Order: sequence, then structure tokens, then C-alpha cells
Amino acid sequence: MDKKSFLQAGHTPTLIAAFLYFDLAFMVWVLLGPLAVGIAADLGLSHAQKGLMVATPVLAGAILRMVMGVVVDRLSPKKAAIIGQLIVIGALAYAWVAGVHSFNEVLVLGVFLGVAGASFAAALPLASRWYPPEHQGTAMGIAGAGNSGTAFAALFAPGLAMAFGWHNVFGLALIPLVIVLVAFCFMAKDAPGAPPPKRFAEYLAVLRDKDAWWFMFFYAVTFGGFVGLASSLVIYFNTQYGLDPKMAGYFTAACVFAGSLVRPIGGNVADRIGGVKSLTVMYILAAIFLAIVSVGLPEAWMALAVFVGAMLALGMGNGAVFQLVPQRFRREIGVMTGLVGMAGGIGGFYLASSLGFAREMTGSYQAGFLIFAALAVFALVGLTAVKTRWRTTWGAAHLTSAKI
Amino acid sequence: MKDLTPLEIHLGHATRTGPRPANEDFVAAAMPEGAERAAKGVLLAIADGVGGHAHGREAAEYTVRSLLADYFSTAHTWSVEKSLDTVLGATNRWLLAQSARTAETAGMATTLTALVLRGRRWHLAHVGDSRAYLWRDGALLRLSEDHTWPHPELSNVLRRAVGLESRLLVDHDDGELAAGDVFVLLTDGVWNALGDEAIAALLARRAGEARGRGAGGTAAGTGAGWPGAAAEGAAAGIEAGGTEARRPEAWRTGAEVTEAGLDPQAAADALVDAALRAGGNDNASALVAHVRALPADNLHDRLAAGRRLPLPPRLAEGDTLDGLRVEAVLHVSRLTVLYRVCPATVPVGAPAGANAAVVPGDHVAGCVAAFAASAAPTLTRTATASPRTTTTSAQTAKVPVGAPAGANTAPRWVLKTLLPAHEHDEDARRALVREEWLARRVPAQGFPQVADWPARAHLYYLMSWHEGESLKALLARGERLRPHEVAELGARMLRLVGVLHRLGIVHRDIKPDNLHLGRDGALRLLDLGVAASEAEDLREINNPGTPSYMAPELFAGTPANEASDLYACGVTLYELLTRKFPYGEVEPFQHPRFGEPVPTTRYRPDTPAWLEAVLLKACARTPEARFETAEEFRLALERGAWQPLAVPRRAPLLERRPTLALKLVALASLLLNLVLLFLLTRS
Repeated sequence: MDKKSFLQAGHTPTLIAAFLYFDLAFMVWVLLGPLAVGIAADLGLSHAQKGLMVATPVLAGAILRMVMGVVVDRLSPKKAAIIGQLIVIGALAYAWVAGVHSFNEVLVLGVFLGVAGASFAAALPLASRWYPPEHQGTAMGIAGAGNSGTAFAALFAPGLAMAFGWHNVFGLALIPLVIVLVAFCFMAKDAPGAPPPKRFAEYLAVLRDKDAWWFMFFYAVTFGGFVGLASSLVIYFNTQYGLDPKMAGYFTAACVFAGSLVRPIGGNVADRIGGVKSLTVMYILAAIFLAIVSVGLPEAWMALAVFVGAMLALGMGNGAVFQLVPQRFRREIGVMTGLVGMAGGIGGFYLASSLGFAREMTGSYQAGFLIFAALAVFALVGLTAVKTRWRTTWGAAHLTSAKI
Repeated sequence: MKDLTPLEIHLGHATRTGPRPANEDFVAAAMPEGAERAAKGVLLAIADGVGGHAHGREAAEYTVRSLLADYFSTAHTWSVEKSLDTVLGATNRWLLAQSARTAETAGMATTLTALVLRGRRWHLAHVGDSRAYLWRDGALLRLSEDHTWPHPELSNVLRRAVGLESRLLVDHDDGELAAGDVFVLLTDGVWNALGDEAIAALLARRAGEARGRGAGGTAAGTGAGWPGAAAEGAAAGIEAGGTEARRPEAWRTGAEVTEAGLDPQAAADALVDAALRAGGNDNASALVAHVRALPADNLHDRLAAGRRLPLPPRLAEGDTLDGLRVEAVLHVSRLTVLYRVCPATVPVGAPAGANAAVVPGDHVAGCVAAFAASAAPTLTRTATASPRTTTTSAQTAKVPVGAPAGANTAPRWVLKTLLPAHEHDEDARRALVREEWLARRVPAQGFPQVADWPARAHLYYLMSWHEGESLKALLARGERLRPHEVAELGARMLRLVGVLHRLGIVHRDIKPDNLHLGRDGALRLLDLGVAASEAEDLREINNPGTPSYMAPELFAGTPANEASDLYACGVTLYELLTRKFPYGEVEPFQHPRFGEPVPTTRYRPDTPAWLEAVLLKACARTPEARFETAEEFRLALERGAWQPLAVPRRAPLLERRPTLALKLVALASLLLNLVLLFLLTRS
């Protein structure tokens, strides 16, 4: 697969536009996390409310991506993406101008930011429909690199909030958003020929497969852990170790970078040694790291080291799950990515909000981490079931290396 | 639903002695009907005998006649190439034996150009200097290459011919058919005299005239021309179904029927006459085939299209379906489900007579004995009536092969069908129909046999049920097989695998789960679900199978063949002995890296050295290092310690991965230098 044929194969401006859109959307999606310290201080939020605040966009994103999927099918990926960006820009502009004065208003803003989290459903088809099967992997890798937006939010938002106040971060975020929207309108182009819209019955059909449920659960643990931690770590480092928001942001960014960079590596490892085998290792590692972190390590750097370890395991797990999903669900792939992605978001919502609640109820984060570690261990049960069921004959049609 | 048009071909032929004293050319064609035409195709052959006084003609006639007779007797699962090669190889040996007999017959040989039109493809087999041409869209394309010496004075001397050498080398070629194609087979008496351009011009003129006359005239012309052909007798034996003469309207209903086109008989006559007029001094013969209509995509699509039956619902114990009562659910996989069934109308413990009434076995036995002989198994043959009514003495005499050994119980079968969720999965449906087609073509010994059920109204098929358990179940039960038992099972398994391979079938899913050890002591190889035969064009993107048993080369996309089956046999025996895999368990969707197989003695120290050597050879990473045939593998197991394999020396690292070895040397010297440098600075 040489570079030249890849450039000729699809539509490069669209790919770049999809990447930029995806990257910024992710940045905005988890924006509340890095700002949480400031917002909580101003609005006087409890720990549980803080947890819920950062978890709301994650949940909204998970559910709205289904809606976005329908819009993509009815209109087109480009139109859906533009609508999504306009909603996010409008919400941020309103929050910037009118201000956010109560917990309920933060939650409403969180729901609107969830639209940014739904960008999955528009950005990936937009890019992927341009590319032939052999280039799908590369195209999806480039567009999917937009995950790094999460790290940018953690890296820059706390610093900007300290300099200009967290209200103004909403305004500052508008600058790249508007620039990318304009660029997007010019660069992105819908691929000719759209696949037929997905019907509700198809979702039901795929859910009859036990494997589908297990994969949703697997992703709920790996991606849920990744995104849940990404949104909560700033609060955690701030509350647990008294780090200032900026430093907490840097610590968080380090974890998130680690998690998002190893995703392709996880995919390759799964390809080489087997998805089930590598997921087994990842879940065990993640469970161990979460259990260690749950005891409340004495120093912030120790916690950072363990979180990076956990994020590496979860990030590679993400890659491993998405090495298996397109191959296992070759025919139902469109429907299945939607469902699995939604499950991942729900997992993230659960982790982020449970951490806040655990702190509120028990005075420490321990219970939240331990329960999530238990979920990772439970995923091992699922892996065993899947492994046993998969020791069978695979027809030629079910072994293709099709990508999303 | 797919159109069920058969391949429609019109033939014409002509042969003239010319100025020569005798006609040594021989032209023939065979056009079977129905299922046989779908399975083996239409065969055309032209031969030009040489040498051995009057025996050139004998060589030509014998070669063509035996080809026509024997080609259709080869297994349906064989590829066209293999079928033609096998028949021609035998003919070649016979001719050689004949010419060695007397001085008179010495040197009798013949050219042969044979063309098989099957499904939507043509296949050419060619030796010598007769020629095959394809005339398509007004352009003439020569398909064969003359096997003569390039020197101008030797241009008539054959380099290759049937009966010339003990090792016959046949040129094969194949391609897609298109409606309207005209194939022309000519002996050198025609093409030498005319040349390609004149032939093309003549065909173009003929086609033009035909178009002028219109469709009706053509059909009549062919019909008239055909019986005459058979009457020529001495010069040309044409064996044909004569379909076009009997039902000329058939092709008009087809999907891809061309407009009239040229009249093959007139064209053949014209070619031969023109050659003789042009001063040809040799026998001149021509065989012309005009493709009128093409069948639907391929054999199995048509099979599937003919079976648009609904899937049965999910059945539970005691349910009945099409008069069959489910006794037990045997196995549920991702796609398929297997039930054990018996006729619902026969009470359990019915007298033996009821057994034979259904007669699933007799049909199959017949089919197996004659799998090569003729028509595909007809569903109508035993479909006379319900089990109750056909208890006649004649039928009781037949041995019900499909029934279990205890003849006093009702006959039992395994019903294989798809899970209801796959109602719209066309691939899965096609695969099941294919599986039945293939299962009907394997012999009775060692394979479950397909049974007919006249009342079948759903998509499934029945095969004989045998009491016993799979080797996987045996292992799961904790049974510990001793090395000599493994070797013995292995030899029996390889006998079955050898049978499949000789039929041109690659099983592709050999594993302990698919090996069944019956209560009667027989070992059976089950599940042809993903088996492939040479006769089919599966067009798969990826290899099916169970990952842990798939040979390393299959992961790289090489299609499965006998060598990969033998690898699976090796892994199966390895597992029977050690419960482990030589390269570890391979998961689906994994692209594993294969190192060196783990010696069996690591898990089973009691493995004899000879058995370990055999198993490691069978599981070798590269196909070249494995056994070449099932028989070779089986012999190695049977000979055992008496004649152990030479154990190859384990290749040293330098041989296996030269660059790695050099890197290690470089790294070691670098480290040594660093240590020395460190010591130097210290002192």
C-alpha cells in the first residue's frame, strides 16, 4: 500500500477536514473536565456534582451519536457535521456571552457539548466513504488521530482558565472552532454514492448476537475507562493532591496522550497475538493499576505513573477491540460501530460520575476505582466465553480483513 | 431468482479426405443433457493421426473416442484440466504400448485439440498442430500454439503428440465465454491451406449471410445439418444429444441469447471446401461451435436457485418437520444447527422392514459407486411415497446404509440446516446446498452419506447418523490416547483424507471435532461445510477454516490445497497426543507468527522419537517441508519405528535468520568493547 496510491485513492482535503473537525470536536467534548476545578469553585459544586458535570457530555455524546447517525443517513455526512458544529459553536457562544450561573446550566451546556462528542458518527463516514477497502485502515487511522483533541483540552484549557477566567475559555475555544468550520465548508466534500440508511431492525438483528453485547461491554470498559479518566483526572489530581488546575491539566494530558497514542499499537498487537489474548492481558493490567490507584497513593507522581500505566492498558484495549469488531461484524459494521461507540460513552459516563459519587458518599475515590476494576475483571469472563465460542470454523466470508 | 437457462451450443463439423488415400482426421463432440452438462460441460475434440501406415487414423479415432467416453466418467469434483489430463494420460500409455507392439504400428500418434465448454468458461487442452480459434466480435483469435519445430523444413514435424512420448505434456488454457462466441477447431489440412486471414474472412462472410437470412432459417439449417453428420460415420463419429435438433425453441427463452449468428454446419463445410479448393493436399476437417446462450453464473448458484426453500424454524426435541421427528439437538454453531431425526410416522422399535422403506442409503450407495458415471443424483428416484407404503420385498432386500447398525430401530439421520436468523444470508444458503452437492460425491466408506427425503419442503439435508463420538469429545472426556493409538487413528484418518484428495476435494477443516469414531469402530470424516473441490470457482477473499488448524501459508492468502489439509492432519494428531497445538492456539482474526513447532516430547515425554519426527514433519511451517501426499504421511505412520524418518538437523540461527545472527555478533562485540573501554578508563 504505497503512499501515492493512497493519496490518489480518496479525497485528501476531505480527510484533512474530517481530522480537524474530529480533533476540535473531541477537544470541546471534554472541555468541562479541565475547567471543572474553576467552575466548581465558582458555583460551589459538591464532588458528586463535579463528577456528574464532567460525565454529562460523555453520556450525551454517546446517545447523540445515534441521532447524528440518523442525520448522516438522511442528509449527508458533511451537512450533519456542519449542523453539529453550528450547534456546538452556538452553545459555547451563548455560554460565553450569557455566562453559566448554576449547576443546571452547566449540565445543559454539557448536553450541547455532547453534540461535539457525536462527531464520530459524521467525521468517520465522511472520510471513510471516499476510500476503497484497502485504504480504509489508513484513512480511519488519520481521521481517528483526532482523539488527540482530548489531550489538547487538558493541556491548554486550565492554563487559559487561570489567565483569562474559565468563562472566557469558551470564547477562546470559538476561535479555532470557527476557523475549522469555515475550512471544513470549503474542503470537505461528500463522497459519491452513500450506503443505504441503517434501519432500526438492523440494530435489533445485531443485538441478537451474544458477541455484540460482549463487545459493547468490552468497549464500555476500555473506552469508558479512557474517556472517564480523561474527564475526571483534573478534578482528581486537584482534590486528592491539591495540584493547581494547570499542573493537574498537564498530568492529565500526559495520561491521555499515553492512552491515545498506543491505540494503533494495541490494534497491531491484537493482530499479531490475537485480540482475545491481548485484551485479556490489557484487562488484567488495567484492573491491577486501578486497584493500586484506589488505595490513594502518597505522592502525585506515583499516581501519575500508575494512571499512565492504566491508560496505556485501556488505550491498547481500545485498539484491540476495534481490531476485532470490524472483522467479527463484517456485514453489520456500520450498525455495530455505532452501538459499540455508544457503549463506550456510557462506560465513560459511568466511571466519571461514579468517581464523584464515591467521593461524596465515602469520602474517598477508592470505591469508584475498585468497582471499575471489578468491571474489567468481569470482562475477562466475557472474553473466556467469546474465546470458547470462537474455537470453531470460520467461513471465508467471515474472515475478511475489512475495515470500518 | 436466477435464470435456469442451460448452456446452449450449436455444432457443425466437416471432414474430407482430400487428395490423400485415407482420412486420418477424426472429429467428435459430446453434448450431454441437463445436470451432466452443467457438471462436466460440452466436449469437442479434433485429432489428426500420424505415422504407422494406416494406424494414424486408428490413433486419432481411439484417442478422441476414449476422451469422449471417459471424460464424462471422471469425478464431478475434478477440474476440467485434471479430468482431461487423466484421460489423455491413459490414452497416451495405450498408444505407446500399441506402437511398441509391431513394426506396423510403430510411430502411431495423433494431435489432439479438445475444447470443453462448461458453465460460463471454456477450457482448451491441446497437443500437436491442430488449431483452436475463437471468433468473437468479428475478430479471430488463435487459442492454441502449434507444437512443431520452428525450422522451415521441419514445420510439419510434431514436437509433441499423443503417443509420442511416455510423458504427455498437454497445453491448457481457459477463459470466459460470451454469448455469440464461435469456436473453430481445425486440422492442419485446413489452416495450412487457408491461413488465419482467409479463415476470419470466411467466418465474417458466413455471419453476414446468416444475419441476412434471419433467425428461423438458421435453426432449420442446423437441424438439417445435424443428422447428416452422424451418417458420415466412417470419417466422423459425432456423439451428441442433438438438443438443438429436437428442441430448437429452448434457447429462445434464455436470458443471454444472441441473435441468429452464423450457421456452424455451413461454416464448417465452407472452411473445409475452401481449404481443398485452395490446393490443400491433406485431410481437411473442421469443427465449429456457436455459443447461443449462457447459463446463470455458475454451477452452485444454479443449485442454490433451484432450492428456494424456506429455512425450518428452530426445533426442539419432539418437534416434527416434513414428517421427521427431532430426537435430539446435536450441535449448534454460529450458522448451522444439527438435529438427530427419525421418521415421525414410524414408531420407535418398528420392524426392520420399515427401515428399508425409506431407503436413504441405497440411493446414495448407487450414487457413490457411479459418482463418476453419470447424472447428478436425482431427487425423484426414491421419491416414490411415504415410508409406510413402499415396504415391498424388492426394497427390503437392499441394505439400508444410512441406518444405524441396530436394524431393529427406526432409521436415524442427522438433519443439518441453518439457524433461522440466517434466513436472508445468501452465502450461508449457498454453502449449505454446495455442501450437500459435495457430500453426495464422496464414497460410502468413512463419510456420512446423504439421504433423500421426498417430503423435504425446507432447506436442509439429511445424512446418516452414527452412534459414537467425535475425537474432540473423546479428548474432553479425559481419554488419554497412547502414542500407538494416535498413530493408528492417524493412518485411518489419512486414508480418508487421501480419498478426498483423489477426488479433487480439499476438506479445509480437518480437526478432532470433525473426526467421528463410531460405536461400530469406524472412523468418519465429517463436515464438508467449507470443503472445496477443484471443479468449483469459489472466488473467496479469504480462507475459511478453524484458525488453530490452518497452515501458516493460508494466513498469507494462499488458497488451501492438499498440503494445508495435511498440515491440519498433523495438528490434529499433535492435539490428540498432547492436547496442545504445535505453534500455540491461534485465534480468529489473528495474523500469527510461526516460529518452530514445539516438540511433542515437551508435553508427552512418552512419545517415541519416530512419531515425534513424523508429527513435526507434518506440522512444518513451509509446505515443502511437509509430507507431499496423504499416502506418504500414512506410510510414515504405519511403518513407524521400523523405518523412521530421517530427522532433519535443526537449522542453526545463522541459516534461519542470517541478519539476526550478524546483529547479535555485532551487539556482543559492541558490549565487549564498552566493557573493555570501561576497564581501560578505570585503570
